[in-house]
Amino acid sequence: MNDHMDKQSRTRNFSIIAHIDHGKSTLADRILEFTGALTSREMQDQVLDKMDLERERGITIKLKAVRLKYNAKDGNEYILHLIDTPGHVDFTYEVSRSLAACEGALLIVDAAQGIEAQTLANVYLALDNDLEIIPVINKIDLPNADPERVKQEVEDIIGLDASDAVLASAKEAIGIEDILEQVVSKIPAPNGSSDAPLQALIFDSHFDPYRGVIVYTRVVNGCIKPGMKIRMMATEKEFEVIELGTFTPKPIKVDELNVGEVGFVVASIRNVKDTRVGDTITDAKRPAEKPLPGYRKVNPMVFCGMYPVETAEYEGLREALEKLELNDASLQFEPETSTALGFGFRCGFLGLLHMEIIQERIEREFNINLITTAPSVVYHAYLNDSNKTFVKIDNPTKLPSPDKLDRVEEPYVKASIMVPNDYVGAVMEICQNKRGDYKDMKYIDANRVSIVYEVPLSEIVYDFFDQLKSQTKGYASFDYEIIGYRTSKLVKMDILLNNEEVDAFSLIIHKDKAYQRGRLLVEKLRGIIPRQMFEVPIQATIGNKVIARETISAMRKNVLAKCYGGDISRKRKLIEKQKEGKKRMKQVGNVELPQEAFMAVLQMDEPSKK
Amino acid sequence: MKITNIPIYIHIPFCEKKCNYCDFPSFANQNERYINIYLECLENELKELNRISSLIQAKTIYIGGGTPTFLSETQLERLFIMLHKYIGINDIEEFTVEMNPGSVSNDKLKILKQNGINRISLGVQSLNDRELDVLGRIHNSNDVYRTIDLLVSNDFNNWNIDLMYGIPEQTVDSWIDTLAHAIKFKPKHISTYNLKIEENTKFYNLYQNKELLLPDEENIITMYQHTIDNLIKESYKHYEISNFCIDGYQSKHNLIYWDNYNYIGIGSSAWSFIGNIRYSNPTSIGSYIETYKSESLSSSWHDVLSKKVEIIDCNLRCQMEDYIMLGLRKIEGISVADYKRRYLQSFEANFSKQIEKLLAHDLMVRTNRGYKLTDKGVLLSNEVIEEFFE
Repeated sequence: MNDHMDKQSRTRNFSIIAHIDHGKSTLADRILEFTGALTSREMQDQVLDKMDLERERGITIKLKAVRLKYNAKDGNEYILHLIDTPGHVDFTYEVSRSLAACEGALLIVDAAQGIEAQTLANVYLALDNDLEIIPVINKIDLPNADPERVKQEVEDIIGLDASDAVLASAKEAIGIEDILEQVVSKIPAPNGSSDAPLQALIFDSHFDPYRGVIVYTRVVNGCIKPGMKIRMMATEKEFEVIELGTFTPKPIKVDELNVGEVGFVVASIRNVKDTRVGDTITDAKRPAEKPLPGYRKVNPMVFCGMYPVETAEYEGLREALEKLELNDASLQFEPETSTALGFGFRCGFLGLLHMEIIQERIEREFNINLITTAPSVVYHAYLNDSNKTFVKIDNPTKLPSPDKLDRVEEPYVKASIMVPNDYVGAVMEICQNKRGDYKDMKYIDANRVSIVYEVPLSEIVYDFFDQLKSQTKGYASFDYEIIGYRTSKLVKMDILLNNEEVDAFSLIIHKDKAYQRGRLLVEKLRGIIPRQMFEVPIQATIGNKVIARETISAMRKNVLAKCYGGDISRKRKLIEKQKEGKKRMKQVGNVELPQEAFMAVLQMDEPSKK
Repeated sequence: MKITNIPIYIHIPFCEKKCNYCDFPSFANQNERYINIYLECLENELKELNRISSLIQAKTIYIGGGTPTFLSETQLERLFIMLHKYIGINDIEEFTVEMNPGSVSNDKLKILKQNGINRISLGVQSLNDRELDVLGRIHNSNDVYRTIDLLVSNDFNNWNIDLMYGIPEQTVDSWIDTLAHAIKFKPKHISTYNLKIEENTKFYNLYQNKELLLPDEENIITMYQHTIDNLIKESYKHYEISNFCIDGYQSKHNLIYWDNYNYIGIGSSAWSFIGNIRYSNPTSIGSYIETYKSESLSSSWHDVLSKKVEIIDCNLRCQMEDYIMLGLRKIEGISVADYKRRYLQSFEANFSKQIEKLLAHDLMVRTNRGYKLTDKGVLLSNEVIEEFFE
């Protein structure tokens, strides 16, 4: 057996599947600590989550791979590659690719909470990739932990043998060695041949300002070496390898990435869009016959307009988006103009969370005050001309008038919700209100039910999560996948402020819901928009028809009564503070609008029937 | 350096009891020894000022508080001795002392009279005993009558009374009633203030707990309009947003603030405006005493400034904004000629956009000398002023 074959047999590639809050990051920390990759002192909490934002939200956005050395009880030293996966439904495809880079996965289940819908989705992804799954029941130190019930759940729901499931507490560092022993004994060593033509799976990339794009890859066949000319099989772009390395988690340069190994490639790549997740790297001189299976181009599903509050910051916003795009191949944007908001960008995202993350990063890292219009999905419109011309609508204002339309289609998703049976009624009511079609309902155990509906994506985007959370006291877990386009009775609703249409408020909505939503929206806006120096009528219209109306009465009094003696600065500060407040507002026509007004379209509580 | 024709403010931060709405740096019921230390600090500050300016000639002096008449007779006399010693007051045009009804005796008034006080500002606030109680004032309406009798018998004829509207539980009728009683006293000057709930006051906490029954905005506006109508009917001139007087009895001291001219403030938390520098003395009485407890050896302007807590270097833009902020609060508004004389620029050229907008919204009008707020503009004066800020 030559060296690298020996090494290959002692390599294990795995990732961790867990629902948010079930302790994935803490477990990753413990594994790093246990294998001595980092000393406790070096260890920042939860090292795998790189960005502040991720840490704050407790979710992982960017994947990362770490190489660890583990001396197993059998006396051998093993090389473990731990590949981190993002934990949110928006990033399902990225998850599937990092799972494809592994032979096995740890399935972390909270010993108190049990399996959640989201976990389930990722487990199926892992099973689709033929991964060996090692169940780990985490948080056994919690007083309400019930490992036996959760083991039973794992067997009943997923059909995995849970008799060997590791009982662990990442927080208390219990069970870490058992986990590593199972990784070594149960997960197979990587297949593939070092002599075959190169096939390496890209599962992530990020942009480094000094070295260009850093590609994270798993070598499935062959070997990459510095100086080699490589080709990305989907984009057909070619580059020369400059540097190879692995993360321990500190980056370490290596001479080669051989079959079965996971690491990074630097090759003077300037654009992350050239290194698409799921694409296959091959040797340009001796290309593989076929790319690895499973590649697909990811399309944004949710769009919104992003505008700087200060018109002068338009260029700054463009730069911010360009910088974020360097690291985020799924972010799309193009310039757009709104009569109300001026110059901005139409941006496409994988989902709502992705949108919120980008929005927050722009405001936080680039210090640009943003106005974000309500997110919209991509509608398919067919005109009633002789060709039934097809138009993609990613902005409500672009929807042609009803007399020009043959029909409009909207994207539907299959929504899977898991919930304690007490809340079945509440969940079904939400789904019905959201124009959902009931598909299936199954009892998972005596207490928990899995419910499946087909729901328009636009309804999910609206306030589905919030309602689900509040109506089920947070017990429901939820996952969705796009299933295609269907014709719906959709209309465009506009909002007029002071008799002027504010395009940023326009939305496409189901005809039967327009009146109710229109009324709610104008009421909400009346509450949010501060009084101006004149009366401001707010109207919701469909075509020329006004369907709801409210009026903001004029401001009558804002006067500083007492002018305290010589303390002029106190008065100044008051006026300056007032001015600051106004600066955060957007002037639309004659009306000053606070940023929240633009999100009001999104955050409306439907009147709940009690 | 000579400082002539300057208004001087003296702060006496002591009161018998802090009122429920008061966020002023005032300190209730301090013992005599502590007040004496404070007076010594005032003297040290005056001495310091004298060291950098051999001649300080006051145009007006305003002794405010707190309650200046909370000082004992001996302390009042000491205060006047030092004012005479360090400040030239021969040509003084107006010399005001603030006082609260019930805090002043015949003997104290005689001391004031002997020392050249020619104007009194009386913190009446309300003539409704229930409202006075809500405000946490120590006096009742009878105290007001008694104090005014004392003022008249001591030959004070130029006095102001402060009144407050928007008091919890106050009604439009009770305000009209207070106003009517106040007019019967025939004061030369009336200030009417809309109560504002400030942080760090008793009222603020009650307000946060929604335990304060404040009159609503419509009623406040009605009260304000009644104030203007009723006082004008009684021959008072409305000359500043909150101030009325028999013509000729405008507060000279305050007008200097509102004209954005220089002034000197002495005592804790007092602001000064010299040249283009605004600065404040340490705010708390403790930190003020710490700063001035020993005689200062400062001999330069720079040394003096180094003791101040907030120093604002007002650039031209800032001065113009202040001028407009203060000037528009005067009912006659601002004079474009005066603006030009002061800042060597044209008001109309500097603010053409704002002027156009405010005229269009009927918030400001042109006068034969410049611009003033309309009735609507007065109620929205903060909005108007904000337009001129950068």
